[in-house]
Amino acid sequence: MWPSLADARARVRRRLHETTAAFWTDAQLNRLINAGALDVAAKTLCIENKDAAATTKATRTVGYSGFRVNFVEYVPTSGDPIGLHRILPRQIGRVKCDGAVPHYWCGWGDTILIEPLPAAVSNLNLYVADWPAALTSDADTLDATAGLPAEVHELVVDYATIWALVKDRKYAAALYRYASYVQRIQAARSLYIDRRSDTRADIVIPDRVEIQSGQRGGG
Amino acid sequence: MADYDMTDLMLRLRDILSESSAVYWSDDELEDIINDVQREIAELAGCYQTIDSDLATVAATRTVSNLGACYRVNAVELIQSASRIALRKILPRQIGRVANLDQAAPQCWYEFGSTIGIDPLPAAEHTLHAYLTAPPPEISPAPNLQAGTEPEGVATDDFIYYLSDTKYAAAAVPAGTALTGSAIPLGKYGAWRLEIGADGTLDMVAATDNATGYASAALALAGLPTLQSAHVAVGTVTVTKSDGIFTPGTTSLTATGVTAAFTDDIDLATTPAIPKQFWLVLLLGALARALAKNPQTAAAAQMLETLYASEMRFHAYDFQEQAPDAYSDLRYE
Repeated sequence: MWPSLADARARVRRRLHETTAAFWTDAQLNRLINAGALDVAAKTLCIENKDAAATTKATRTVGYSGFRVNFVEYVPTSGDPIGLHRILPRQIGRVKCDGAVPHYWCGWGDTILIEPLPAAVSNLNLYVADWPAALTSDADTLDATAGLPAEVHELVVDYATIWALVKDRKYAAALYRYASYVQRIQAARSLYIDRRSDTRADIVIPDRVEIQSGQRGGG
Repeated sequence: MADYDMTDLMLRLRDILSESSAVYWSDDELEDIINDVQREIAELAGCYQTIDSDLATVAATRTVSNLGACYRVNAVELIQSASRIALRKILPRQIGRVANLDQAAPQCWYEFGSTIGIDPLPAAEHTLHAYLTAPPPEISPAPNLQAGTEPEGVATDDFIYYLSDTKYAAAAVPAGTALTGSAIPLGKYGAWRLEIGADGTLDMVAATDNATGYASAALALAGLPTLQSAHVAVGTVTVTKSDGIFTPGTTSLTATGVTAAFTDDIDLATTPAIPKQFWLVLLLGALARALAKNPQTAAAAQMLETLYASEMRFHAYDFQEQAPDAYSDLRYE
């Protein structure tokens, strides 16, 4: 059943016009489907997990696993958590810190850097764009196993199809599908992941709304 | 084989090249291509980021020259007992012209050649940390410890290892390196660690109490002595024999009643060291380079090279362009 590995493979096979394994083995298509899950997750950053982490006394770095950290929250021993301000390494020591608890962070390699230098263990929540888990059995699914949201499942099949076509040296067909794939990846990223917060202006009922000519599909 | 280790990367590459084992493309050739492309991605995308914390100024010397291998220095942090502060980046033409340089401690830095320069001229030794984008360690095939063709020994495949940033290659030992030391009593566990130094000799080091034996494999591993200096660990072996004593170097690791567990334990990049979002870009680049070898697929190679460049730019932009928050990003206004 969709979106299982078996069904994703069947969908790729239908697009390749090879319903049973001949030119493309099941193992090869499974690898391409898993690579597709990785590519889609890497480009859309759509697997969003909140991971607990902790600073180490006198160590600036905190490790994490995932493509990248998008936000960091400091969890005090009492009181409410608070979001930290993202800086760059060149700003270390040059930003205002009120006390010794974490105030700022920045990404560096597979770690984040905390400013000021932690004087003790502090708890953090890391809002991470995560890696997908591998689909290893036919019943594993793109949502429950890999962690991909439904809006990008079809893209995984697209990715696997593209590289299966390259194997068959059908480069023009692969290129056509690749162009479409990239367009849909960008759309998914823009629609679902690239967010901004509301400003006060966004939530005020406007006095009047004017729609300019041409703003409604050429009206 | 683990996901995206060298064996898996070559398997994925060979899937698309439609060559399941080495014929037109040798394994060595594909390994070289994969490592070359990884280095290229790290260089162009600046995505292998490290911190060099072994730097110090020298009194009356402007340059700090013991930087590790790096493509670029992104920031320099002055480490003092009471404070840590990032230094300001300048250009050599600004030396001595930056305001507020009446302090003795380093205030500014510049990158020049393979060194960084410090302003004002250091009057004493100061510890620095440098945030670098660097060449990644090569992806090494795993040593893949297993019973040797002479089954009293532990076989290893060829692999590479680093000692003090120097790369060494170890040749495969299919016959195996013999286990050493005391016999393990019936039903007890013993452990060994395979270590290697600059001379390339594989040393088999036994757990301190193998003669008495351990109650479990975990306890036996905990009984291994400290790693020899100037050596790296390659892997570990634990053994137990349910129907007699186990004599190292004599009893076969595949004999009846013997349970042997082999674990690769090398501190090496067995998977790409660049961030995971670049791993498929790496495969794409390697595929383009491999196809370029064959004149019949040169046009395809050119097309894939274009896709590779475009994918790398996408991920490089995504990786590098994480701007700091402005105050307005945090306020509700």
